[in-house]
Amino acid sequence: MSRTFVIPAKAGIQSPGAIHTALRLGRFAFALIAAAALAILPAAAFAQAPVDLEAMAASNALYEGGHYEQAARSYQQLVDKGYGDPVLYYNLGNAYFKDGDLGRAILNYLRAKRLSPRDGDVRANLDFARGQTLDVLESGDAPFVRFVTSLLSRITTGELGTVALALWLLFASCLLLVMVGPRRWLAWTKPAALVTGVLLLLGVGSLTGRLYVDSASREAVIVAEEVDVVSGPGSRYTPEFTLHAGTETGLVEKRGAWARIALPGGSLQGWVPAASVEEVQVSRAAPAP
Amino acid sequence: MNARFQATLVLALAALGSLSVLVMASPASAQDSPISAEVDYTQVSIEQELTLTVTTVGSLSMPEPSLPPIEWAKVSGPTRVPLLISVNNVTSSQVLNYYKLQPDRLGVHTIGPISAEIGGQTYETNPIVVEVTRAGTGRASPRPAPTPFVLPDLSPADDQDAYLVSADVDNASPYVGQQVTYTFSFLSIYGFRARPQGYEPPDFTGFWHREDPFWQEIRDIVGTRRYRGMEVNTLIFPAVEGAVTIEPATITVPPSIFRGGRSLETNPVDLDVRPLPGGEPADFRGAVGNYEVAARIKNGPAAANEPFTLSMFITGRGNLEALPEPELPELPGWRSFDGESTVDTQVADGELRGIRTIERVYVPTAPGDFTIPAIPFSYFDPFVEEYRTVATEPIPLRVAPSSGQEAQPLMSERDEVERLGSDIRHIKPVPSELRPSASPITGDAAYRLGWAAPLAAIALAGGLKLYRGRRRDPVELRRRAAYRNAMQSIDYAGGDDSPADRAGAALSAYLGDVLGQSVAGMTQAALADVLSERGAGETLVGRVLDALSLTEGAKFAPGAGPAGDTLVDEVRQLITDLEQEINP
Repeated sequence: MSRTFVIPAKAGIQSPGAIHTALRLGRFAFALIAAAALAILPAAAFAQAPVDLEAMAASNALYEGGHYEQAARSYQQLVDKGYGDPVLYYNLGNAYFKDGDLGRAILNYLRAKRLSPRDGDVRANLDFARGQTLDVLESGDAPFVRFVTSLLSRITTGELGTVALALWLLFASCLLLVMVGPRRWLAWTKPAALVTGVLLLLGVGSLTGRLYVDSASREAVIVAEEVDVVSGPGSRYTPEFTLHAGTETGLVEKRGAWARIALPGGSLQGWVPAASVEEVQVSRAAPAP
Repeated sequence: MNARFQATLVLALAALGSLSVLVMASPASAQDSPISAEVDYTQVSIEQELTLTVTTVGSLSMPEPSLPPIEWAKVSGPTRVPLLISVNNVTSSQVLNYYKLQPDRLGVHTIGPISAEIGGQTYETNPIVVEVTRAGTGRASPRPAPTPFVLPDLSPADDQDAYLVSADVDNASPYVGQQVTYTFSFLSIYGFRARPQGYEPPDFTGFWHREDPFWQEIRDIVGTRRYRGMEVNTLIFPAVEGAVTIEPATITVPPSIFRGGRSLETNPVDLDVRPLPGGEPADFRGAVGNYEVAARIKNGPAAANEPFTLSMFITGRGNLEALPEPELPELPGWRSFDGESTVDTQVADGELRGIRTIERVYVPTAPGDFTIPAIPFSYFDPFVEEYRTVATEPIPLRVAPSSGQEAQPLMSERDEVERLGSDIRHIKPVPSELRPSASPITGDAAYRLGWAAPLAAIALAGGLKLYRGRRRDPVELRRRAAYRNAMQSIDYAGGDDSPADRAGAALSAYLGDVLGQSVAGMTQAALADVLSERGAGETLVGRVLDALSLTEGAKFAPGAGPAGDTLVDEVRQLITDLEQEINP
């Protein structure tokens, strides 16, 4: 026997609070992004010791007075204290140049250029000092690589990182609007997400390339007046060629008191006393109070 | 003493009193003030330049002093020289600010008070009076240390021993070319008031002499009288051998209202100039003194046919301004041209010292490795009385192949801007703050948070979207809420329905919600099939069908079946069992 049951009608459950919940969560997400953006700004300005600015002024006065050796020592003390200002490196390079130390002049111009790559004075003095080096070296890179390297060398790693992060924040914001924003906004949030996504890829690609180059190639400068490059880490090995102050080279490795260097192109490489070559990248330490 | 002189004396004393009051009332007297100023000459002819030196004592980073308007001269500078002075382990700082003044107007001028803010307080110097005369009229007179006010001269009008003059040299038998200091001394009992302006040095025939003598104040006691005056030192270098006489120097004391003028003359000074000894090196060209040499290449060379400059530097003690220059080497096959020769000298500890730079421009004509040979330089050292030869270091040189262009002419034939020299760009001023050395931004924790936070936000939004999608499916929502709604319906105490009715309606609603389809109008067989498909056991299916029948029977035939409460309990247990088996 078949029976039929009568079921009382019952309304389906609606969720009018869900939209409000979504909006609340969306606002929370944006707040999270905004907080992250603010967090990358300097949390607090570096407490500048007036005595160090005064020391910088005194160093400049020593330079103006023609006391280049003392000026270089005074600038170097500030560097040793942990300061890494491009103006400091530039002035230090000038003091070394005037004191006749071409190697350390180029070294510090390169350091200044890393921090302030579009500074015309730094580039001019670096070119001028390079013109006085004795060793003529050809770059082994292809023209296109040289062009891209030259282009990227005008932007610091920090600037590239900041641009990439800004693109990421923009892209993430657009994506969030696509996901949780009102449907009527989709007409512009979707194209915006697409454009920022493409730009983000370019930015991240450039940043990744720069970080790879920074970590893979260690720039260095010959600071000794003249140094014989030998075939092994010791004075008993065969001298292969001679380099002079100011020659820019790559630092491959350090082993005890010896450093292995490679000239551009990689065809010439060998070992020199570690004291005769200095790496452009400085070891970092916070300024002492 | 006549009446007119008495009146003059009274007026002078009154003026002195007024000035004394002013000086005492001044907030920063010359002696206590951390700022002072002086000029090297108080009388200059219009073509001469004078140096104004402003000394500030305090911090090395003190701002530049504030100069009053000086309309009678062109002012350049300052050149600032910081000094740290340590006395008994106490270090103090002072800054010398040098200004160059080139007069362009005749007459007597006053440099007004120069002010500087030191330690939050403003200090001023005393005014300085400078007289600018016509070109070629008289020599410049050095100025003593600042002496703001001068006592009037009340001495008798005439005194034969009031002035003493003399001339002397520090070495009466020098070698040819050796430095000799000629000293002219002038003493007066009238002190500074009587200091004359009219010093006329001798011609120094037979000597090379430096044009700008240096002077100093002197004091002496002769008998019972105190004298004050000045000493003028001139550096001279004998140019001829044998007995040479320096003619007398003269000095003219101008007349004043108290006494007449007077012209005084020194004694002549005899020297016996010795010739240089024999045995000189082959390259000796007459240099006398004590020197060091060095050489360096400027501007290259980058490639063949491109010019570069070889600079040779001669430093040391001696007559660098008239130094015979060594010959810079010629390199075979290279073109070379004379370059610039400059000299920079100064007097230090009474000696002429400095640096002479000799340049020569070379144009290598072929690539390859070359060496610029050592450049010898011989001189006679009068201090040890022997010849010495010093030499520069050889300079190895690599010349790259030419870029294909011929050597450019060194002198442009067109009226283009001519580059006279090249150098690095100057240092930069002190920034407002010094940046610390920092790791790359990519290693910063906040930077990484900047990347991670949006990622978390996107994940959150994704979860939210999924949640919202599920909330939009009414069947699913009803299924999930079926058990709760059924129990609430059974337990609902209000309304007119009997417990059995509520139990039957709750069971039907529960089945409808769980199965996703209404059981109204569904046959018992169809319901049994649907329940079996959803995993309900046979016993449970039987209990469902029985319960529906009983609740329906209780609705239409009250009292025929089990009691209402028993039926309700049975339905509650049945729904619980169904929840476990078909709607976990």
